[in-house]
Amino acid sequence: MKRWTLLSLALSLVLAPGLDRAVRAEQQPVRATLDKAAPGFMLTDARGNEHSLADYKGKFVVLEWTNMDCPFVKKHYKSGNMQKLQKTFTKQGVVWLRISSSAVNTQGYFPTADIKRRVKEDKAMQTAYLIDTAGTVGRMYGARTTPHMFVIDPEGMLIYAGGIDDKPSAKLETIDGATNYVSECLQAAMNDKPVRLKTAPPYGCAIKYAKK
Amino acid sequence: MILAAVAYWSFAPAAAPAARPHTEKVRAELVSEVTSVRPGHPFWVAVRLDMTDGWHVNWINPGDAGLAPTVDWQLPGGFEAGDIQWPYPERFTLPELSIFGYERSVLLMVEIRPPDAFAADRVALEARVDWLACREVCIPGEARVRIELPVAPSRPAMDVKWASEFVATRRRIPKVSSTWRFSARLTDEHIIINAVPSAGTVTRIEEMIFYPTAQGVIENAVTQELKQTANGYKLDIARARLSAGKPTRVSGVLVSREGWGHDEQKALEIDVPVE
Repeated sequence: MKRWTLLSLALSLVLAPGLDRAVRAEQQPVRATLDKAAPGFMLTDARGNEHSLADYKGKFVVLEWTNMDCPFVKKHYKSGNMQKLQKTFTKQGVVWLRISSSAVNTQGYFPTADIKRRVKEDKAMQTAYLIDTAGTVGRMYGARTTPHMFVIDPEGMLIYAGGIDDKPSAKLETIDGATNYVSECLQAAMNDKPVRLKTAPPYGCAIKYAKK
Repeated sequence: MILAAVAYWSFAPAAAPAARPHTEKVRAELVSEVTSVRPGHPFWVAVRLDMTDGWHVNWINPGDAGLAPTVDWQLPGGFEAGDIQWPYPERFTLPELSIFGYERSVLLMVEIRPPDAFAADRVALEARVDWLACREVCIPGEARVRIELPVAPSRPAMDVKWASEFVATRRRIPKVSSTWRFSARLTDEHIIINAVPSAGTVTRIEEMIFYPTAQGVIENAVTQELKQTANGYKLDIARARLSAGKPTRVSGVLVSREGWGHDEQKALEIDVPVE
């Protein structure tokens, strides 16, 4: 295995001497896959602090794609559902990263001051709110909707990717009685039990990606 | 204005158009293909959604984002409503994502089955319709729609106002083909659909698109590659990256821009086991 890596590295150096690693990485983008290592990333939060996925190795990490003006995201914040989940799990040591991949000047894009104000108004309890206006991390994870949820285990494996629950609707009254897949996944995995459902259709607003 | 609308509603004659509840982006109304109801004889109605320019609603599989409209019926005793007959959708492309749905207007046709006998001169059909209207942003909408029809023992007449829209919509509803045979297999990253016509079916297809009925089966935004084979066509479709397992069936709609060589039908049903 190692030998092959070295060989292919040597080959690629011979075959493409002018290409640096970044260019080659872009040609063969890393893509998140269930039950495989979650691709690493580095993003800046609304306070200007950098967060790398690698910083959180050894912990469960939730990635929540968000757009605070999307009616589906509003359903989960107006009802207090998302805050409750964030509180429940961050208290148990889970790292909760909210990511906005909205391009500049599209719905869901906010200047950092607005992010801080609105997160406070919502009483949101995420570990950090990360800004991905280029959409690099969103594309890498195949994030499509807001919300779209991902769970990474302490070994760094992607163990859930999909919808937040089984009630695809923007209506507030659909929160009660919904089966929350993120909660189900975390509860199982934190107790060394198998995760029943690793994916479910994500539902919500399309992520407003920047044009490539 | 409001008074006029109320007055119109109260005294509306039997076959008059239904009131049109307005929302900002989509108008919903209930329309009937026929002008009267005959006991024991099924007939077709449709929830007609009329979109503001540039806005769309979704197909049964919304694609990468969105939600399909839902219709919740309130019908007189003994009446039954069938499932929505979804016309094949259009594909809307956003950066990185593809959405399946309808622009301009769409008829969501439903068969209504009245009981063999009932005591009423008129029947009122009612439904609550929910949808998500999207352009760059999405806005949920809902309406209560209603239509009243007289009951008559004779064969109902077509409502000329809507007949052509029902005819055009029927052409967009996928059919099971008797002349084309489909099969499907998987590779690590692709679903490959083979389409083979029976002898004598002559057609040249330039563009074919597979729309899966379920979400999370394919990479919606990845271009599907059509190739001619010795005896038909082969469509290469990228499988969904974030899926938990392999599909065991391939179910959905195949749309050929050039049709399938025998009539005006552009959309055929496909529902085959994976080989």
